[in-house]
Amino acid sequence: MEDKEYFEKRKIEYFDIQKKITPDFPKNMLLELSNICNHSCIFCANSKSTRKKSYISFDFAKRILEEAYDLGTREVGFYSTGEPLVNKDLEEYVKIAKVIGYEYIYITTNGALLNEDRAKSLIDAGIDSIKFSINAGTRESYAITHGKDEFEKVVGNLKNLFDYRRDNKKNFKIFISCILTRYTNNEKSLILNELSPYTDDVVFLNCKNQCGVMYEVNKYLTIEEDVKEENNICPLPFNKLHITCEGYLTACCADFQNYLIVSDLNNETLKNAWNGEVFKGLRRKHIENKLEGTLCYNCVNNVNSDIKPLNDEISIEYDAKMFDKTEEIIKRIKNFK
Amino acid sequence: MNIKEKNKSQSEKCKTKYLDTSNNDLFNINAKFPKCINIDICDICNYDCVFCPSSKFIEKGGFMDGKLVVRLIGEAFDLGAREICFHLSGEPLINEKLEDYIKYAKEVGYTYIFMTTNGFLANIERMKKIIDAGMNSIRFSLNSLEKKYKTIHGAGDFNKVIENINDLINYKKESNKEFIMGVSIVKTKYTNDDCEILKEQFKEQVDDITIFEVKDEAGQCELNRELYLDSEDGIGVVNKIPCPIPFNSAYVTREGFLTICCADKKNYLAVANLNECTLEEAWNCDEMMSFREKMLNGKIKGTLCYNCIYGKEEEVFPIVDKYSSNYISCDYNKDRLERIEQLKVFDKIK
Repeated sequence: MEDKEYFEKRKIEYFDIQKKITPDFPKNMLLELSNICNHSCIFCANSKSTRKKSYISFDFAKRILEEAYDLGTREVGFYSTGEPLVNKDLEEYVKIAKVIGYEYIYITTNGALLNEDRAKSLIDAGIDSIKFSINAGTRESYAITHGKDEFEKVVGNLKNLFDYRRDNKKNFKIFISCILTRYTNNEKSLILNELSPYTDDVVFLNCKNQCGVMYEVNKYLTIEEDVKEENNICPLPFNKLHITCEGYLTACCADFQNYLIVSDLNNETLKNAWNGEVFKGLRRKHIENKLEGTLCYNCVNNVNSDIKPLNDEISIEYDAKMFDKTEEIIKRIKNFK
Repeated sequence: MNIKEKNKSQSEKCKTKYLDTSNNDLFNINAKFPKCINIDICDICNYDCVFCPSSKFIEKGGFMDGKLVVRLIGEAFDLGAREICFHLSGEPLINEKLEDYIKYAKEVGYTYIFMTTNGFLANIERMKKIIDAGMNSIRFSLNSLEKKYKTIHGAGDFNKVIENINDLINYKKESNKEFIMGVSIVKTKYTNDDCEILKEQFKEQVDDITIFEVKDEAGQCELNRELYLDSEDGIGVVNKIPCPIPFNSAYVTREGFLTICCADKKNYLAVANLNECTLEEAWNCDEMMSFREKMLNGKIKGTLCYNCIYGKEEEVFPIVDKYSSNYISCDYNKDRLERIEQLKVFDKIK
C-alpha cells in the first residue's frame, strides 16, 4: 500500500517496531534498476553522487526477484536513487515480478519520460501504482527545483495517465509525492487544487537531509518551523530490502555513495546477506543507539560528522567538503521570486 | 552427567563465582571485564523483606531507561560478558519489559541469563513468556513458611507463591524445556525450622537449593544482628583481602551507575555514571583503578568494603560524593523492631 494510509502506518511502525537483530524477512523491496536520473532536484544528492552510473544486470534482477519472493517478499518498487523510466527494461521487470506472484509492484518517477506509449506498456505489464514526484506547483519553481523545465510535460503525462485509466477502466493507483522547501511551501494549495484531482492521493514531505547525504539543505532549503524530531528511529534496516543497481544489499533507500552496503549479492544469497554479521552489526548499532561513525548517525541526528562506510572496498568514499551541493543550491535559489 | 547434575553444577558455579580466584590474572588493577553483568532494570520491590536494605536506602525507585538497558547489554557483550542478570535492588518481574531485554540479550549472544524473584508476580503465563524469551535460570527467594511469611517478607502471599513455584515445576516437567529452577532461603534465627522444612519440601523438585545466612549487609542494616543465628560472626561472605568482587563483577544501578558491589545500596561504591560514559570507560576509570589498588593493598578503611570484610559498623564514605545517596528511611528501624518482636512472639506461641 503506497498511499497515505501506508505513510501513516509507516509512521506508527517507526515507533513500535519489533527490534530484532535478525528480523523476519521483509515484505517490501526496493530494486534499483538504475542510479541515473534525467532530473537534478535541488535537494537531492543524485547530481553530486560519484557512484558509477549504471543499469542493473537483467539476470541478477531476475534472480533477486525470485529469491526474495521465495523468502516472503510480496511488494517491489523498481527504483531507489535513480529514475526508473530511464531503464528501458522496466516493463520487463514488472512483467517478471507479476508472473512470480508479487502482489504490489510500484514506482516513483518524475514522470517526464512517461509518455502515452510508455504508460500503456507499463500498465499492460501489470504495474499497481505509479507515484509522480512533483516538487513544485508552478512551471517556474518546478524548473528551479527539478533543474529541468518540464512541469507542463509532466503534468500532461499525469493527466493523460488519469484519462487513460478512466477510459479503459484500469485498476492501478496514481499518486503524487511532493517534497517541499521553504521556497515552494506556499505552492501546496496549487498542487492540491490543480493536480490532486488527477490522483488518488497527494503526500507532502518536508525537505530533509536525505538520509544524511544532504546536510546543506538545512541552511538553504528546509522549512524553518520544521523542528527536528528527537529519538528518530529508522525502521529501514529492520523491515525493508534495498538492492542497488550494482547488486549490493544496502540498509537505506538513499545510499548515494554505497556507505551502508552490507553484502555483495553477486556473491551471496539474499537470505545470508539479510542475516549476515555486517547487517546484524548495523542493526545492533541502531537498537543500542551507537551509530557514531556511520551514515545513519548523520541522518538520524541531522549532522555532518566524519563517517566511514560499512564496507570500504565497495563504497565510494567521499570527503564531506567536496561532497557538497551548496554552490549549486545558492545559484538556483536566486531565481526564486 | 544428566541434566539435573549439569544444572546443579551450573548453579553452584554461579553461586560461588564471586569467590572464584582461580584465575591468576584476576587481581590486577587492569582487570579484564567480567564474564557476568547485573543491570538493575528497576529498583522497585513489591516486597520489603525484614533483612533487606533496599527500602531503607531507596526512597522511591523507578525503571531504568530502556535505551540505556539495550546499550549496556551490547557494550557488556562486546567487552566479553556472556552472562547477564536484570536486577540488583528490585524485583525484576515488576518491569514489564523484562521479556524484551531477555530476548534482546539472547539475540546479542549471551549464553546464560538468570534471575531471582520473590515469586509473587511469577504466575505461569508470565513465566512461560520469560522462559520463551530465553531465561536460563530462575530462582525463587522463599524465606519462611506461611505463618511468618508476611512478617519476614513485609508483603505477599505464601500460598500464591507456592502455587506459582509448583506451576513452574509442573510446566518444566511437561514441556521438557531446559531451564534451571532453584529456591534460595535467607536463614534467620527465627526461621531455622522453616528453612529445614522448605529444603525438604523442594529438594527433589528443583535443581538447586541455596541457603544464605542473614548478614548485616556490609554494616548497612545493624538490626539484622537481632536475626543472626547463634553461630553467626557478622563477617561478610567474602571475608578476606583482597575481595575478588571489584575484579570479577560488574553491577549497574537503576540510575545507571557502575558500582563495585551488589551490597552497595547507597551508591557508596559507585565509580562512574554510564549515562555519561561507556561501560569500557567506566570499568577502567580512575576511581575504579585506584579502588582496586586500595583493595590489593588492603587499604580499605573508610569504605563500605571495610565493614563488610571485617564485620564492622564504622562510619564509611562514598568513593564519589555526587553519586552517593543520602536518603535513609525514618520508618525503617521502627518497622524492623516491630517485626522482630512479632517473630519472637511467634516462637513463644510455638
